Amino acid sequence: MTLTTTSRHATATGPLPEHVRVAVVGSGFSGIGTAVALQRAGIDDFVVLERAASLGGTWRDNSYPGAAVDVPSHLYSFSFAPKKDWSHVYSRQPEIQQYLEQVAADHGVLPHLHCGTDVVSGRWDDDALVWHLDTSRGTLTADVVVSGAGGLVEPHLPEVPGIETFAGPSFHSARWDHSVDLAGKRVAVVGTGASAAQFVPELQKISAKVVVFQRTPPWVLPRQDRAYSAREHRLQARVPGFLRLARGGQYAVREARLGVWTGGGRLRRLFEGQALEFLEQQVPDPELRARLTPDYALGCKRVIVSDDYLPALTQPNVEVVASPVTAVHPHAVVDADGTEHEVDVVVYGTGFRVMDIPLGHRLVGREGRTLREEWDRSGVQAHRGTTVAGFPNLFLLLGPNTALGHTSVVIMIEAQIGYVVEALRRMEETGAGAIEVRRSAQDAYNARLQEGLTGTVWNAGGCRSWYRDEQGRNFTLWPTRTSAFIRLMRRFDAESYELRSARRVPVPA
Amino acid sequence: MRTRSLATAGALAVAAGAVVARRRAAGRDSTPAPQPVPLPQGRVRTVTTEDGVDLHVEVSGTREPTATVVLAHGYVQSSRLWAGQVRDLLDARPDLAVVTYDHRGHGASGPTARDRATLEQLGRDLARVLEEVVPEGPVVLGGHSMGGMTIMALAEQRPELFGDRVVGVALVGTSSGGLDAVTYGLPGPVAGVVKRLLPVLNERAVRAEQAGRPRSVGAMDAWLVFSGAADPADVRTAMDVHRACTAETVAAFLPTFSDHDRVTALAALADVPVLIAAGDADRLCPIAHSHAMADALPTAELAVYPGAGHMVQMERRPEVSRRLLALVDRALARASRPVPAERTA
Repeated sequence: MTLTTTSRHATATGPLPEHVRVAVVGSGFSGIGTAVALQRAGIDDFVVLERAASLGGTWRDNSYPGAAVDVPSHLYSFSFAPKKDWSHVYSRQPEIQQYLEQVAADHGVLPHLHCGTDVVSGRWDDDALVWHLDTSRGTLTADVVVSGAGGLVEPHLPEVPGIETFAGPSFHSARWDHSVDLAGKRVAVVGTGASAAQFVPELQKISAKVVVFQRTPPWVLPRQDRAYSAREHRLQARVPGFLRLARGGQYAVREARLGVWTGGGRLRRLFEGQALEFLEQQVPDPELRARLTPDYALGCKRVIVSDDYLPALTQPNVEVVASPVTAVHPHAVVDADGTEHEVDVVVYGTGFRVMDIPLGHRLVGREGRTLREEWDRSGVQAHRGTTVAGFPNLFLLLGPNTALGHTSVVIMIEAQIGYVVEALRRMEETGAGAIEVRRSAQDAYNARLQEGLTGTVWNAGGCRSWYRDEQGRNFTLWPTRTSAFIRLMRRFDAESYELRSARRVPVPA
Repeated sequence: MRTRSLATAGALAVAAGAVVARRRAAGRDSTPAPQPVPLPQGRVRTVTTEDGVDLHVEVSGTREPTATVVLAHGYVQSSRLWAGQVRDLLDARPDLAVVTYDHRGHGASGPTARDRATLEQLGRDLARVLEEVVPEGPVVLGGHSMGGMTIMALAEQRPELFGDRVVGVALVGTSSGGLDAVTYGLPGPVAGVVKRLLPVLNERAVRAEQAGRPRSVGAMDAWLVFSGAADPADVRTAMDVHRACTAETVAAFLPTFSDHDRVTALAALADVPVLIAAGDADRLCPIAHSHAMADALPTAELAVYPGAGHMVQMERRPEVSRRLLALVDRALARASRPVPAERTA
């Protein structure tokens, strides 16, 4: 653990309180951001429940070699806690985790943080208007639950036979087994997404052989990462407004690029041209290049931003198998032609079960259904990505249709947190014990949102991606500018909600 | 006085016009139009009051209900405007019966003498309906606006009914008193003028009606009882119902609201589950009145619908229906609790 243990920095010890106003689940960007915002709003009666031994969320879980942001760090940080000395434009995972720990410590969040506390089940009590939560360290009730679990939490493994039969070490990239020495080994990598694009170049340097199984080639754009110099650090620290300007500039550039994904095609074709040129520069071998050339629109799947992924694939110890994995044997991984590739280790860079958060299976709402059951019935959806009809007093951060293809999700997180704080304020002002979004409001919102997604490259780009479900419905992405979402979330739309207060004597069973 | 009344009329006309324009613009929204609620199709009965007024009653649902929900409507309206809840209650709970009726002078009920156009009389009428139509079994009473005030009048007259006979009460878009201070969402001085004018305008309309010119209902009525975001179909339905109410009834009942002061009558409800539901954009029974009733009933459930107007049961139909169903559940659960044994001396 990198946290210091002075009393100011110590996390909560001792038993959980019996009751809190707000239970925040998760301590990544969402959970920590919420905790800070609650403090600033004068709400002190909250806990942050973290199932792992330390905070960090995504940026603790994904410790694979080369793990880093794909968005500049000035953007991928809190607006209220700019970091003046990021080591690189695109910072690495350990530094990001440290940043979160620092923010938590600096803003007095740590005393509220209960680590090793997994929310095992939860039930909405419609008489007392509270959530009953069962955790691995005891039970508590909470007026309000804020889920900081995001949407990319549980590792997804491919549905191919034999995964359990592999004799050597195998693991998912988000559950990297650091005790396995990969030097000199033959490693199969399944998947060519954002994680694989980062760890494959690292594996290439040390492993004897890397066999990459690529179902669909990704589009790759240049990253142009670099270390910040000491002079730049001084500028960022001393010149007032410099950081804000830097962040603002990065933000504006990315918003301008949104047309690649949602626009008519000219901007996209420009970027496709650039990407194909980049591919040609980095991959001289025409046969390999052909295997790596996507046949769908740029942006349909998440774009890889990397300077070293493609060069790694050209190295003599790397083989790109342009086929999905069809089976795993005790000592080999089998491609679609039936060819067995003998390997010592298998690494699954196969992403996550999108929006299938554990909490979704464990929280039972007003109608006696879990969030998962509700979404199985009516599709994965929420109101403004934050509230769900049938689930009073539950707020999701980075819920359905808040993910982005073009810029930092921390922007979305902050907008949602502001909305949640406004909702809490409204409850306080009106003495409401329960606040629940109306189904008709949620339906109207989602109808408009889905309309906004039609014609975007994510829906119409001719690819299969984790953005969409089996029916092709895009349940992950926000369709337009983040500024539109920020504007939307700035005003709490009370007219979309039902507010209830009850000081009723519970009816005996 | 005449200039002021013209100015007032002018101001109201501008306000009404603005509202109509906003509503027309809102109607161009892309949200799909909901199904119009069909007319209640219950078994029709007539209950004759002690002074000979025939009340039109409709009974729907099973003939052997676990409970009967009786719904009372508001001033200038009719049981038609509870149709959404009637439908939703019966769809969700085939074990219930639902009774709606039209107050004297309203809907399909007979006219009333002026001196019987009071909330006290309406309370007695409700007692009569209960005796004749639901002689047995637990009853959940629901009242909107004047219908809620009727229930409070009943509670004032017959507090003993509440507990074993009436096992739950829903007070929807209503008030326990202080209506004279309500300004209908108009600026104070304008409201003052309007309220002084109303009885005069009402009598003028009565005379016109007697001369064969029916009462006109328009944008002003809609503006008073609906929020700007209301569904145009709901507004049309409600205005149709308003139009069917005579000027005589409008004039006859107006004075009784000034005398309505029944917060103490709420004490009779202290032992039964109560739902208080209202929109916070209600111009006729401001939300503060619902808060006041909730304060007087510490164990009541208060459901507030931000942005909804006076016709909250239409503007928030699924939510109000759901709250009503939950009330029925709570009422039945409490009613079926074993009574604690008497302590022997």
